[in-house]
Amino acid sequence: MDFKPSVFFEALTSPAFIDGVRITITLTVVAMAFGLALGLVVALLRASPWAPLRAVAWGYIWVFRAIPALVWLLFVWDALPQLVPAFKGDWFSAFAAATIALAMNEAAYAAEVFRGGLLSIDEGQQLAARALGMPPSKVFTKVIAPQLIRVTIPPLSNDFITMLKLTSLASVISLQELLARTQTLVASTFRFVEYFSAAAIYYLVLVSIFMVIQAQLERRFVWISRQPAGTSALSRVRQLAALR
Amino acid sequence: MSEPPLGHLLDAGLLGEPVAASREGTSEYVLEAVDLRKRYGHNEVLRGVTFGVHRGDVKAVLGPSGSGKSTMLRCLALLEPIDAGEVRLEGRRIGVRESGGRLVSLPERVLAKERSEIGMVFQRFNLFPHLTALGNVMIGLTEVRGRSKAEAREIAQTMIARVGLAERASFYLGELSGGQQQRVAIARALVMNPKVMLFDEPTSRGWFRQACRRPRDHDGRWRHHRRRPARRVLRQPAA
Repeated sequence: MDFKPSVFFEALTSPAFIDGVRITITLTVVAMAFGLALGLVVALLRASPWAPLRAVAWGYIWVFRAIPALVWLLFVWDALPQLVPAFKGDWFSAFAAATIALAMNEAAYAAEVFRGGLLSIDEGQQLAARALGMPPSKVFTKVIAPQLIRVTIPPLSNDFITMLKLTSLASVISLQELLARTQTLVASTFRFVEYFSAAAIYYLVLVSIFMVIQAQLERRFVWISRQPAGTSALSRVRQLAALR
Repeated sequence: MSEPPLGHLLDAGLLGEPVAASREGTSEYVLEAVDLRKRYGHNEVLRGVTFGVHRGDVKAVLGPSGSGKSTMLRCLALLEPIDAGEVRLEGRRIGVRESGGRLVSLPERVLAKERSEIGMVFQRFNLFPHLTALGNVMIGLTEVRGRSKAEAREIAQTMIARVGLAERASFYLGELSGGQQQRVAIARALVMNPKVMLFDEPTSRGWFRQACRRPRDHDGRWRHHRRRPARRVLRQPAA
Protein backbone atom coordinates (compact mmCIF):
# COMPACT_ATOMS: atom_id res chain seq x y z
CA MET A 1 0.00 0.00 0.00
CA ASP A 2 1.34 3.32 -0.98
CA PHE A 3 0.04 5.87 1.50
CA LYS A 4 2.37 8.33 3.15
CA PRO A 5 0.75 9.88 6.21
CA SER A 6 3.27 12.71 6.18
CA VAL A 7 2.20 13.72 2.66
CA PHE A 8 -1.45 13.41 3.66
CA PHE A 9 -1.04 15.72 6.67
CA GLU A 10 1.05 18.12 4.67
CA ALA A 11 -1.80 18.30 2.12
CA LEU A 12 -4.37 18.83 4.86
CA THR A 13 -2.49 21.78 6.30
CA SER A 14 -1.10 23.34 3.14
CA PRO A 15 -2.04 27.02 2.68
CA ALA A 16 -3.09 26.35 -0.91
CA PHE A 17 -5.61 23.78 0.26
CA ILE A 18 -6.98 25.98 3.00
CA ASP A 19 -7.35 28.85 0.54
CA GLY A 20 -9.27 26.49 -1.75
CA VAL A 21 -11.55 25.57 1.13
CA ARG A 22 -12.15 29.26 1.77
CA ILE A 23 -13.27 29.78 -1.83
CA THR A 24 -15.45 26.65 -1.70
CA ILE A 25 -17.23 27.92 1.43
CA THR A 26 -17.67 31.44 0.05
CA LEU A 27 -19.05 30.21 -3.25
CA THR A 28 -21.43 27.81 -1.51
CA VAL A 29 -22.83 30.47 0.81
CA VAL A 30 -23.11 33.22 -1.81
CA ALA A 31 -24.61 31.00 -4.54
CA MET A 32 -27.01 29.46 -2.02
CA ALA A 33 -28.15 32.86 -0.77
CA PHE A 34 -28.89 34.11 -4.29
CA GLY A 35 -30.40 30.75 -5.23
CA LEU A 36 -32.80 30.79 -2.28
CA ALA A 37 -33.84 34.38 -2.91
CA LEU A 38 -34.50 33.70 -6.60
CA GLY A 39 -36.15 30.38 -5.75
CA LEU A 40 -38.59 32.09 -3.39
CA VAL A 41 -39.49 34.60 -6.09
CA VAL A 42 -40.07 31.80 -8.61
CA ALA A 43 -42.20 29.88 -6.07
CA LEU A 44 -44.34 32.96 -5.39
CA LEU A 45 -44.73 33.53 -9.14
CA ARG A 46 -45.93 29.96 -9.50
CA ALA A 47 -48.65 30.74 -7.01
CA SER A 48 -49.56 33.98 -8.78
CA PRO A 49 -53.20 34.47 -9.79
CA TRP A 50 -51.97 35.76 -13.15
CA ALA A 51 -51.39 32.93 -15.64
CA PRO A 52 -48.47 34.47 -17.62
CA LEU A 53 -46.45 34.82 -14.41
CA ARG A 54 -47.20 31.23 -13.48
CA ALA A 55 -46.06 30.15 -16.95
CA VAL A 56 -42.77 32.04 -16.61
CA ALA A 57 -42.09 30.34 -13.27
CA TRP A 58 -43.05 26.94 -14.65
CA GLY A 59 -40.75 27.47 -17.63
CA TYR A 60 -37.86 28.47 -15.40
CA ILE A 61 -38.18 25.36 -13.26
CA TRP A 62 -38.56 23.21 -16.36
CA VAL A 63 -35.43 24.54 -18.04
CA PHE A 64 -33.10 24.68 -15.07
CA ARG A 65 -33.96 21.30 -13.66
CA ALA A 66 -33.38 19.78 -17.08
CA ILE A 67 -29.99 21.34 -17.92
CA PRO A 68 -27.07 19.67 -16.12
CA ALA A 69 -25.35 22.07 -13.74
CA LEU A 70 -22.02 21.53 -15.52
CA VAL A 71 -23.47 22.34 -18.92
CA TRP A 72 -25.08 25.50 -17.59
CA LEU A 73 -21.86 26.50 -15.81
CA LEU A 74 -19.86 26.17 -19.04
CA PHE A 75 -22.57 28.03 -20.93
CA VAL A 76 -22.47 30.94 -18.49
CA TRP A 77 -18.68 31.08 -18.46
CA ASP A 78 -17.96 30.58 -22.19
CA ALA A 79 -21.12 31.32 -24.15
CA LEU A 80 -22.74 34.15 -22.21
CA PRO A 81 -19.96 36.70 -22.93
CA GLN A 82 -20.40 36.00 -26.65
CA LEU A 83 -24.13 36.49 -26.39
CA VAL A 84 -24.21 39.49 -24.08
CA PRO A 85 -21.36 42.00 -24.31
CA ALA A 86 -21.92 43.11 -20.69
CA PHE A 87 -20.37 39.83 -19.57
CA LYS A 88 -17.08 40.61 -21.33
CA GLY A 89 -15.97 43.01 -18.61
CA ASP A 90 -13.27 42.33 -16.03
CA TRP A 91 -15.90 41.92 -13.31
CA PHE A 92 -17.01 38.65 -14.87
CA SER A 93 -14.58 36.43 -12.99
CA ALA A 94 -14.75 32.67 -12.67
CA PHE A 95 -16.20 33.24 -9.21
CA ALA A 96 -18.96 35.50 -10.59
CA ALA A 97 -19.77 33.01 -13.34
CA ALA A 98 -19.92 30.11 -10.88
CA THR A 99 -22.12 32.14 -8.53
CA ILE A 100 -24.57 33.00 -11.31
CA ALA A 101 -24.69 29.49 -12.75
CA LEU A 102 -25.03 27.63 -9.45
CA ALA A 103 -27.51 30.13 -8.00
CA MET A 104 -29.76 29.84 -11.06
CA ASN A 105 -29.51 26.06 -10.90
CA GLU A 106 -30.37 26.02 -7.21
CA ALA A 107 -33.29 28.43 -7.64
CA ALA A 108 -35.20 25.88 -9.72
CA TYR A 109 -34.95 23.26 -6.97
CA ALA A 110 -35.51 25.72 -4.14
CA ALA A 111 -38.64 27.01 -5.91
CA GLU A 112 -40.14 23.54 -5.80
CA VAL A 113 -39.20 23.14 -2.14
CA PHE A 114 -40.81 26.49 -1.31
CA ARG A 115 -43.88 25.61 -3.36
CA GLY A 116 -44.26 22.37 -1.44
CA GLY A 117 -43.80 24.28 1.81
CA LEU A 118 -46.45 26.83 0.87
CA LEU A 119 -48.87 24.05 -0.05
CA SER A 120 -48.27 22.39 3.31
CA ILE A 121 -49.40 25.46 5.28
CA ASP A 122 -53.09 25.34 6.05
CA GLU A 123 -55.16 27.92 4.17
CA GLY A 124 -56.70 28.90 7.51
CA GLN A 125 -53.42 30.52 8.50
CA GLN A 126 -53.58 33.25 5.90
CA LEU A 127 -57.35 33.57 6.44
CA ALA A 128 -56.82 34.16 10.16
CA ALA A 129 -54.03 36.66 9.49
CA ARG A 130 -56.16 38.54 6.96
CA ALA A 131 -59.16 38.47 9.27
CA LEU A 132 -57.05 40.20 11.93
CA GLY A 133 -56.45 42.99 9.43
CA MET A 134 -52.88 42.28 8.34
CA PRO A 135 -51.85 43.64 4.96
CA PRO A 136 -50.47 41.05 2.48
CA SER A 137 -46.82 41.79 3.28
CA LYS A 138 -47.36 41.09 6.98
CA VAL A 139 -49.44 38.01 6.32
CA PHE A 140 -46.39 36.65 4.56
CA THR A 141 -43.60 37.84 6.85
CA LYS A 142 -45.31 37.34 10.21
CA VAL A 143 -47.45 34.26 9.63
CA ILE A 144 -46.50 32.33 6.50
CA ALA A 145 -42.70 32.78 6.44
CA PRO A 146 -41.97 31.36 9.93
CA GLN A 147 -43.99 28.26 9.12
CA LEU A 148 -42.43 28.03 5.66
CA ILE A 149 -38.91 28.16 7.11
CA ARG A 150 -39.70 25.37 9.52
CA VAL A 151 -40.90 22.92 6.90
CA THR A 152 -38.23 23.82 4.36
CA ILE A 153 -35.17 23.52 6.62
CA PRO A 154 -34.65 19.78 6.01
CA PRO A 155 -35.03 19.81 2.21
CA LEU A 156 -33.08 23.06 1.82
CA SER A 157 -30.30 21.65 3.98
CA ASN A 158 -30.08 18.85 1.45
CA ASP A 159 -29.77 21.48 -1.25
CA PHE A 160 -27.06 23.26 0.72
CA ILE A 161 -24.98 20.10 0.93
CA THR A 162 -25.55 19.45 -2.76
CA MET A 163 -24.41 22.99 -3.47
CA LEU A 164 -21.25 22.51 -1.42
CA LYS A 165 -20.37 19.56 -3.59
CA LEU A 166 -21.48 21.20 -6.84
CA THR A 167 -18.93 23.98 -6.28
CA SER A 168 -16.29 21.43 -7.30
CA LEU A 169 -17.67 21.75 -10.86
CA ALA A 170 -16.25 25.25 -10.91
CA SER A 171 -12.79 23.72 -11.11
CA VAL A 172 -13.45 23.26 -14.85
CA ILE A 173 -13.72 27.02 -15.31
CA SER A 174 -10.43 27.48 -13.45
CA LEU A 175 -11.91 28.73 -10.20
CA GLN A 176 -9.30 27.84 -7.59
CA GLU A 177 -11.59 26.12 -5.17
CA LEU A 178 -10.83 22.95 -3.24
CA LEU A 179 -10.92 20.46 -6.12
CA ALA A 180 -8.94 22.71 -8.50
CA ARG A 181 -6.23 23.15 -5.86
CA THR A 182 -6.14 19.41 -5.28
CA GLN A 183 -5.72 18.70 -8.96
CA THR A 184 -2.92 21.24 -9.28
CA LEU A 185 -1.05 19.66 -6.38
CA VAL A 186 -1.68 16.16 -7.68
CA ALA A 187 -0.31 17.14 -11.08
CA SER A 188 3.01 18.11 -9.59
CA THR A 189 3.38 15.31 -7.01
CA PHE A 190 1.39 12.39 -8.41
CA ARG A 191 0.33 11.58 -4.80
CA PHE A 192 -3.29 10.86 -5.78
CA VAL A 193 -4.28 8.92 -2.68
CA GLU A 194 -3.03 11.46 -0.16
CA TYR A 195 -4.34 14.56 -1.92
CA PHE A 196 -7.75 13.27 -2.90
CA SER A 197 -8.16 11.81 0.60
CA ALA A 198 -7.31 15.19 2.09
CA ALA A 199 -9.88 16.87 -0.17
CA ALA A 200 -12.50 14.29 0.80
CA ILE A 201 -11.74 14.91 4.48
CA TYR A 202 -12.34 18.62 3.99
CA TYR A 203 -15.71 18.02 2.32
CA LEU A 204 -16.61 15.63 5.11
CA VAL A 205 -15.68 18.18 7.78
CA LEU A 206 -17.56 20.99 6.02
CA VAL A 207 -20.72 18.92 5.68
CA SER A 208 -20.44 17.80 9.32
CA ILE A 209 -20.18 21.40 10.51
CA PHE A 210 -23.20 22.27 8.44
CA MET A 211 -25.19 19.38 9.89
CA VAL A 212 -24.57 20.78 13.38
CA ILE A 213 -25.81 24.17 12.19
CA GLN A 214 -28.88 22.54 10.65
CA ALA A 215 -29.72 20.74 13.91
CA GLN A 216 -29.47 24.02 15.81
CA LEU A 217 -31.65 25.79 13.26
CA GLU A 218 -34.28 23.08 13.54
CA ARG A 219 -34.23 23.37 17.30
CA ARG A 220 -35.06 27.07 17.01
CA PHE A 221 -38.18 26.12 15.10
CA VAL A 222 -39.59 23.66 17.62
CA TRP A 223 -42.71 25.34 18.90
CA ILE A 224 -43.00 23.92 22.37
CA SER A 225 -43.05 25.95 25.56
CA ARG A 226 -40.91 23.72 27.67
CA GLN A 227 -38.26 21.63 26.08
CA PRO A 228 -37.76 18.50 28.11
CA ALA A 229 -35.47 15.81 26.77
CA GLY A 230 -37.35 14.15 23.99
CA THR A 231 -38.27 16.89 21.55
CA SER A 232 -35.64 16.09 18.96
CA ALA A 233 -36.72 14.36 15.81
CA LEU A 234 -34.83 11.25 16.85
CA SER A 235 -36.53 10.95 20.22
CA ARG A 236 -39.91 11.56 18.62
CA VAL A 237 -39.24 8.60 16.37
CA ARG A 238 -38.31 6.61 19.46
CA GLN A 239 -41.54 7.63 21.16
CA LEU A 240 -43.54 6.55 18.14
CA ALA A 241 -41.69 3.25 18.07
CA ALA A 242 -42.40 2.76 21.77
CA LEU A 243 -46.11 3.39 21.19
CA ARG A 244 -46.38 0.55 18.75
CA MET B 1 -79.93 46.94 28.10
CA SER B 2 -78.98 43.45 29.03
CA GLU B 3 -75.41 42.28 29.09
CA PRO B 4 -74.40 40.52 25.90
CA PRO B 5 -72.42 37.32 26.11
CA LEU B 6 -68.71 37.79 26.53
CA GLY B 7 -69.37 41.37 27.64
CA HIS B 8 -67.50 40.69 30.83
CA LEU B 9 -64.39 40.10 28.73
CA LEU B 10 -64.36 43.61 27.34
CA ASP B 11 -63.13 46.72 29.01
CA ALA B 12 -62.95 50.09 27.31
CA GLY B 13 -60.27 51.14 29.77
CA LEU B 14 -58.03 48.37 28.52
CA LEU B 15 -58.89 48.15 24.86
CA GLY B 16 -59.85 51.72 24.12
CA GLU B 17 -63.12 52.73 22.53
CA PRO B 18 -64.10 50.74 19.46
CA VAL B 19 -62.04 51.68 16.47
CA ALA B 20 -62.98 54.74 14.42
CA ALA B 21 -65.18 56.01 17.22
CA SER B 22 -68.61 54.60 16.67
CA ARG B 23 -71.25 57.04 15.55
CA GLU B 24 -74.00 55.84 17.75
CA GLY B 25 -77.45 56.90 16.72
CA THR B 26 -76.56 57.54 13.11
CA SER B 27 -77.28 53.99 12.16
CA GLU B 28 -79.75 51.49 13.36
CA TYR B 29 -77.57 48.48 12.77
CA VAL B 30 -73.97 47.75 13.65
CA LEU B 31 -73.70 45.15 10.94
CA GLU B 32 -76.05 44.92 8.05
CA ALA B 33 -76.20 42.67 5.03
CA VAL B 34 -78.29 43.74 2.09
CA ASP B 35 -79.14 41.22 -0.61
CA LEU B 36 -75.82 39.37 -0.43
CA ARG B 37 -75.18 37.16 -3.41
CA LYS B 38 -72.31 34.78 -3.96
CA ARG B 39 -71.78 31.99 -6.40
CA TYR B 40 -68.95 29.59 -7.14
CA GLY B 41 -69.33 28.68 -10.79
CA HIS B 42 -72.81 27.22 -11.18
CA ASN B 43 -73.24 26.78 -7.46
CA GLU B 44 -75.29 29.68 -6.13
CA VAL B 45 -74.38 29.76 -2.43
CA LEU B 46 -75.96 32.98 -1.23
CA ARG B 47 -79.18 34.08 -2.87
CA GLY B 48 -79.95 37.50 -1.53
CA VAL B 49 -79.21 37.36 2.19
CA THR B 50 -80.51 40.36 4.09
CA PHE B 51 -80.41 40.99 7.83
CA GLY B 52 -79.24 43.46 10.44
CA VAL B 53 -77.59 43.17 13.83
CA HIS B 54 -78.01 45.79 16.54
CA ARG B 55 -75.33 46.65 19.05
CA GLY B 56 -75.34 43.96 21.71
CA ASP B 57 -77.40 41.58 19.62
CA VAL B 58 -76.60 37.93 19.38
CA LYS B 59 -77.87 36.29 16.26
CA ALA B 60 -77.44 32.74 15.17
CA VAL B 61 -77.65 31.23 11.74
CA LEU B 62 -78.72 27.64 11.55
CA GLY B 63 -78.64 25.31 8.63
CA PRO B 64 -77.44 21.96 7.40
CA SER B 65 -73.79 21.63 6.44
CA GLY B 66 -73.02 22.96 3.00
CA SER B 67 -75.83 25.49 3.15
CA GLY B 68 -73.46 28.47 2.98
CA LYS B 69 -73.14 29.59 6.60
CA SER B 70 -69.38 29.75 6.55
CA THR B 71 -69.38 31.37 3.13
CA MET B 72 -71.72 34.05 4.42
CA LEU B 73 -69.46 34.73 7.40
CA ARG B 74 -66.43 34.95 5.15
CA CYS B 75 -68.22 37.44 2.94
CA LEU B 76 -69.18 39.51 5.98
CA ALA B 77 -65.57 39.40 7.20
CA LEU B 78 -64.46 40.60 3.74
CA LEU B 79 -62.43 37.46 3.26
CA GLU B 80 -64.39 36.58 0.11
CA PRO B 81 -65.62 39.13 -2.42
CA ILE B 82 -69.38 39.14 -2.90
CA ASP B 83 -70.96 39.10 -6.34
CA ALA B 84 -73.74 41.50 -5.44
CA GLY B 85 -75.28 43.20 -2.46
CA GLU B 86 -73.86 45.24 0.37
CA VAL B 87 -72.14 44.74 3.68
CA ARG B 88 -72.58 47.71 5.98
CA LEU B 89 -70.68 48.35 9.16
CA GLU B 90 -72.30 51.08 11.25
CA GLY B 91 -74.16 52.20 8.18
CA ARG B 92 -71.07 52.53 6.04
CA ARG B 93 -70.72 50.29 3.04
CA ILE B 94 -67.50 48.27 3.27
CA GLY B 95 -65.39 46.20 0.91
CA VAL B 96 -66.02 48.27 -2.20
CA ARG B 97 -65.60 51.76 -3.54
CA GLU B 98 -67.17 53.57 -6.41
CA SER B 99 -65.10 54.22 -9.47
CA GLY B 100 -66.58 55.78 -12.57
CA GLY B 101 -70.11 54.80 -11.61
CA ARG B 102 -69.14 51.19 -11.02
CA LEU B 103 -68.40 49.43 -7.77
CA VAL B 104 -64.95 47.92 -7.51
CA SER B 105 -63.42 45.82 -4.78
CA LEU B 106 -61.05 47.77 -2.56
CA PRO B 107 -57.35 46.94 -2.77
CA GLU B 108 -56.20 44.30 -0.29
CA ARG B 109 -54.34 46.86 1.80
CA VAL B 110 -57.50 48.90 2.40
CA LEU B 111 -59.63 45.81 2.91
CA ALA B 112 -57.17 44.81 5.63
CA LYS B 113 -57.94 48.02 7.54
CA GLU B 114 -61.68 47.37 7.33
CA ARG B 115 -61.27 43.77 8.39
CA SER B 116 -59.55 44.84 11.59
CA GLU B 117 -62.89 46.22 12.79
CA ILE B 118 -64.55 42.85 12.43
CA GLY B 119 -63.61 40.00 14.77
CA MET B 120 -63.67 36.51 13.42
CA VAL B 121 -63.35 33.20 15.25
CA PHE B 122 -62.92 30.33 12.86
CA GLN B 123 -64.45 26.92 13.20
CA ARG B 124 -61.01 25.36 13.49
CA PHE B 125 -59.66 28.47 15.25
CA ASN B 126 -56.61 28.71 12.94
CA LEU B 127 -54.25 29.73 15.71
CA PHE B 128 -50.70 30.50 14.61
CA PRO B 129 -48.57 27.49 15.57
CA HIS B 130 -45.32 29.45 15.65
CA LEU B 131 -46.59 31.76 18.38
CA THR B 132 -47.50 31.12 21.99
CA ALA B 133 -51.06 31.69 23.20
CA LEU B 134 -49.92 35.15 24.30
CA GLY B 135 -48.16 35.74 20.98
CA ASN B 136 -51.37 34.89 19.11
CA VAL B 137 -53.24 37.53 21.07
CA MET B 138 -50.41 40.08 20.74
CA ILE B 139 -49.79 39.88 17.01
CA GLY B 140 -52.84 41.88 15.94
CA LEU B 141 -51.96 44.63 18.39
CA THR B 142 -48.36 44.92 17.25
CA GLU B 143 -48.77 44.31 13.52
CA VAL B 144 -52.16 45.91 12.86
CA ARG B 145 -52.82 48.37 15.66
CA GLY B 146 -49.21 49.54 15.80
CA ARG B 147 -48.85 49.06 19.53
CA SER B 148 -45.41 48.59 21.07
CA LYS B 149 -44.42 45.10 22.15
CA ALA B 150 -44.58 46.07 25.83
CA GLU B 151 -48.04 47.63 25.53
CA ALA B 152 -49.33 44.73 23.50
CA ARG B 153 -47.97 42.21 25.98
CA GLU B 154 -49.72 43.94 28.86
CA ILE B 155 -53.08 44.11 27.08
CA ALA B 156 -52.79 40.57 25.76
CA GLN B 157 -51.90 39.24 29.20
CA THR B 158 -55.01 40.80 30.68
CA MET B 159 -57.13 39.38 27.88
CA ILE B 160 -55.60 35.92 28.22
CA ALA B 161 -56.31 36.04 31.95
CA ARG B 162 -59.93 37.01 31.29
CA VAL B 163 -60.49 33.92 29.21
CA GLY B 164 -58.96 31.95 32.07
CA LEU B 165 -55.68 31.00 30.45
CA ALA B 166 -53.18 33.05 32.47
CA GLU B 167 -51.14 29.97 33.31
CA ARG B 168 -51.12 28.82 29.72
CA ALA B 169 -50.00 32.09 28.15
CA SER B 170 -46.61 30.70 27.16
CA PHE B 171 -48.01 27.50 25.64
CA TYR B 172 -48.00 26.73 21.97
CA LEU B 173 -50.92 25.47 19.90
CA GLY B 174 -49.99 21.81 20.22
CA GLU B 175 -50.03 22.07 24.00
CA LEU B 176 -53.54 23.47 24.28
CA SER B 177 -56.78 21.52 24.36
CA GLY B 178 -59.52 22.26 21.83
CA GLY B 179 -61.46 24.37 24.30
CA GLN B 180 -58.35 26.28 25.29
CA GLN B 181 -57.56 26.93 21.64
CA GLN B 182 -61.03 28.33 21.21
CA ARG B 183 -60.49 30.70 24.11
CA VAL B 184 -57.20 31.91 22.62
CA ALA B 185 -58.96 32.42 19.27
CA ILE B 186 -61.71 34.44 20.97
CA ALA B 187 -59.12 36.48 22.89
CA ARG B 188 -57.16 37.09 19.68
CA ALA B 189 -60.25 38.51 17.99
CA LEU B 190 -61.64 40.40 21.00
CA VAL B 191 -58.38 42.13 21.81
CA MET B 192 -58.70 44.04 18.53
CA ASN B 193 -61.81 45.63 20.00
CA PRO B 194 -63.93 44.92 16.95
CA LYS B 195 -67.37 46.35 16.36
CA VAL B 196 -68.79 42.97 15.67
CA MET B 197 -67.71 39.41 16.33
CA LEU B 198 -68.37 36.56 13.94
CA PHE B 199 -68.19 33.00 15.22
CA ASP B 200 -68.14 30.05 12.90
CA GLU B 201 -69.62 27.03 14.69
CA PRO B 202 -68.98 28.37 18.19
CA THR B 203 -70.70 25.49 19.93
CA SER B 204 -68.42 22.88 18.50
CA ARG B 205 -66.39 23.32 21.69
CA GLY B 206 -67.77 23.75 25.15
CA TRP B 207 -66.22 26.93 26.32
CA PHE B 208 -68.25 29.39 24.32
CA ARG B 209 -71.54 28.28 25.83
CA GLN B 210 -70.03 28.29 29.28
CA ALA B 211 -68.70 31.81 28.81
CA CYS B 212 -72.06 33.06 27.58
CA ARG B 213 -73.75 31.74 30.68
CA ARG B 214 -71.11 32.97 33.05
CA PRO B 215 -72.76 34.34 36.20
CA ARG B 216 -72.54 38.04 36.66
CA ASP B 217 -69.79 38.13 39.19
CA HIS B 218 -68.18 41.36 37.99
CA ASP B 219 -71.07 43.65 38.76
CA GLY B 220 -68.96 46.71 39.48
CA ARG B 221 -66.88 46.32 36.39
CA TRP B 222 -69.69 45.92 33.90
CA ARG B 223 -70.61 49.52 34.06
CA HIS B 224 -67.40 50.34 32.17
CA HIS B 225 -68.36 48.22 29.23
CA ARG B 226 -70.57 50.70 27.56
CA ARG B 227 -69.83 49.95 23.99
CA ARG B 228 -69.75 46.31 23.33
CA PRO B 229 -69.61 44.96 19.91
CA ALA B 230 -72.59 43.19 18.60
CA ARG B 231 -71.97 39.59 17.89
CA ARG B 232 -73.16 37.44 15.16
CA VAL B 233 -73.02 33.84 15.98
CA LEU B 234 -73.12 31.09 13.52
CA ARG B 235 -74.18 27.86 14.98
CA GLN B 236 -75.51 24.58 13.99
CA PRO B 237 -77.67 22.32 16.11
CA ALA B 238 -75.75 19.44 17.56
CA ALA B 239 -76.35 16.56 15.26
